[in-house]
Amino acid sequence: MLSSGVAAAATLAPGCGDSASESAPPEPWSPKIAQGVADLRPDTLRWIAQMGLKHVALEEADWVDREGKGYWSPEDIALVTHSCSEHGLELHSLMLPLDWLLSPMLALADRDLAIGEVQRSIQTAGRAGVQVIEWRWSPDLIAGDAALYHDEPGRGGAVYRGFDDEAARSLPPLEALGEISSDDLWDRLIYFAEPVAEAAQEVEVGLAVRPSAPPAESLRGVARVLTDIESMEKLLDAVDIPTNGISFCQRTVAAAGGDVLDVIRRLGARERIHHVRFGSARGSMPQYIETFIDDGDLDPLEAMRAYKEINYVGSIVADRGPRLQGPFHPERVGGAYSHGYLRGLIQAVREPA
Amino acid sequence: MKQKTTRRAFVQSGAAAGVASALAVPTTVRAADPINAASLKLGKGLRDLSDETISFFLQMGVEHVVMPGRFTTERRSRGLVPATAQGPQNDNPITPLDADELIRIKKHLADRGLSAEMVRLPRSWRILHGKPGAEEDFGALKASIQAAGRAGIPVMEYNFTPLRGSEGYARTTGRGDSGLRDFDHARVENLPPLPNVGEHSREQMWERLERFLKELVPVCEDSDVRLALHPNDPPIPIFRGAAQPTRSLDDLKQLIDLVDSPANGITLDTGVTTEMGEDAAEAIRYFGSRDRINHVHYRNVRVEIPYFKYLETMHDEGVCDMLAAMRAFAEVGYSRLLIPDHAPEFSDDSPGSEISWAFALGYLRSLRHAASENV
Repeated sequence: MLSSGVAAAATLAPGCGDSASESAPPEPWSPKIAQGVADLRPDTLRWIAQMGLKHVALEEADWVDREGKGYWSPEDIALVTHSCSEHGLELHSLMLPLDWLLSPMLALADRDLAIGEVQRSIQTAGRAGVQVIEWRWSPDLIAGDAALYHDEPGRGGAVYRGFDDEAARSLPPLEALGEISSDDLWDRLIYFAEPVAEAAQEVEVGLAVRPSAPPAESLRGVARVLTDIESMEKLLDAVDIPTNGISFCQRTVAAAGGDVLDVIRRLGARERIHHVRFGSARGSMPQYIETFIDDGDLDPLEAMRAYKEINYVGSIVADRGPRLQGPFHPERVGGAYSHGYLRGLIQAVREPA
Repeated sequence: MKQKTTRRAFVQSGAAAGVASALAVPTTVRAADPINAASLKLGKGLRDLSDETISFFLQMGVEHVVMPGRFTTERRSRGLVPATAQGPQNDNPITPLDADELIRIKKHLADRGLSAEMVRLPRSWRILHGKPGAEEDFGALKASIQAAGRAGIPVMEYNFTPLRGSEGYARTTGRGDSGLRDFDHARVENLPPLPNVGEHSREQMWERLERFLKELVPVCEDSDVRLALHPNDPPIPIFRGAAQPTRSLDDLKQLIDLVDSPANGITLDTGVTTEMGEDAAEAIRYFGSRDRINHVHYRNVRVEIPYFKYLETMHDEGVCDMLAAMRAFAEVGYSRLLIPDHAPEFSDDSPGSEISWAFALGYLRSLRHAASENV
């Protein structure tokens, strides 16, 4: 049930094998194209189903823990999985609310309690069929990330988010957090990840930690410790449990200056990509811009080929795009563009010329 | 079968067009899809020139469009099911397109980063129905072609049907409760002729079509304009007693043989081609290798009975292999306009169907990217 992609056995190429065996043609490569959403309202789910998707990645945990209990109950999970299945969709992944992780990120007195609630929630979700749990380890995100970016003029008047490290350094620290060093944050990360990964392993749920976006060394006085392939591999080595995996944010890896195709292969070889956020950037640290899927530096077709190459069959969501301008729903329109594009990429990668 | 003679060479109208690059395009914006610049133009049919419409498609990376023939900024959306074709409501002569207006529209678009690649040829019921006023209307059509030529618009699309079988369409639902339209000949096969249309035989229609081409193609060549016949859609043989002359691939092959000129071309519609039970990629290779594809409508269908019963689907869920089609365009070096044509309905879409167009354009853009790789 572990959702990471790499299949155990290689599939035969069409045309191979002896005629006597009468084997059925191999199934086409089928990663789970999903949409990341903040709610499960009927119109949201209709939109997903109408784009032909089958899987939902719920990214806003408020929608699950409605009462703010601090954990997910079986009833909470049943409600959200049912909402999806009513529209013929499968709830594939959930995201841990950032405030559940605040105590572990700040090493507060009640962090063990908080870790216990996270373990319990993951197991509840796993038993109900949720395949992936995403999470982030950036305490300063409690203040959101809008202040970290500036507007860049984009294609046709769309507004791109731009990041400039020098400008970002001038942002004041957050009073609630103070300064957090990278050593401290790293130690706390391991302290959290190990028991949580063990709990996830028991129910075969794939954890998927997102690299910190923007991938700067530190922002607003708070260090960022998961910003590139080296730090991701360090985490995988430190907590070497199969369930401890990565939410592969293609754009952040590119923005950090990584060779995306190489990183896909490296993480793929370890079978630790449990989720993919498919997006694009132009440029890389210290300055980069979030673009449309098709006007960044990385060739999206090459990226999709790399996922097929490692036989990744986990979930892929379309990462957020630029802010579209006009009398329409910008996220739905932008998401539709991305998903149309992803549909073509999958087809092209399945049917080479 | 008539042999193809050497094509008459004539100046590619694109060279004369004075495309968008000559006019102001914001320099901070990169060209859409710079990875594969030298290939067909992925674009959109514009029904109006409003800022909202233009702005939306620019954000989608569209740079080439079909322009409306009249300057209008009133936002107009097309319903899922086309209005019932009613035929001529009067016997008035048609108004020709006006060169100054076309130039004004083209400039309006170019100033905003869009290149006008096509405008529709006005329709003359009198020519289609063989009425006495046909002569007068031929004059107006020639003037329209000349106007397009002066404005540097390289292609004009037209239909040649005495009456479209649009009453055979109906709304139905698709995946996730999306709104699709289907066609069923059984709905209309027994409908009587309309009094203002009358009955028209296949022979009559082909006579008129031959005359149409012989009159207009020379004018096209002089004006650096190419015609693109859109096949009859729905492609049934006859509707209310009015024959559909260009509703099969054989019909289209016959058409281009009738007058041998690149100006006498077709709109390759992947949807209609598939509705005919034909293979779009093969059709593309046939007409494209002869340089007779002057426009492309790119959409998908699921076919129950070829020509007679089918469902127009979202671009990615029909039986036409859209990738193979795109590769075929690349193979034959098609470099004109390709548009997504129809917009199936997303339930909660905005009036401009932006979700629907975004999905279609995203899909088409990635297929074009994939197809251009191997060229």
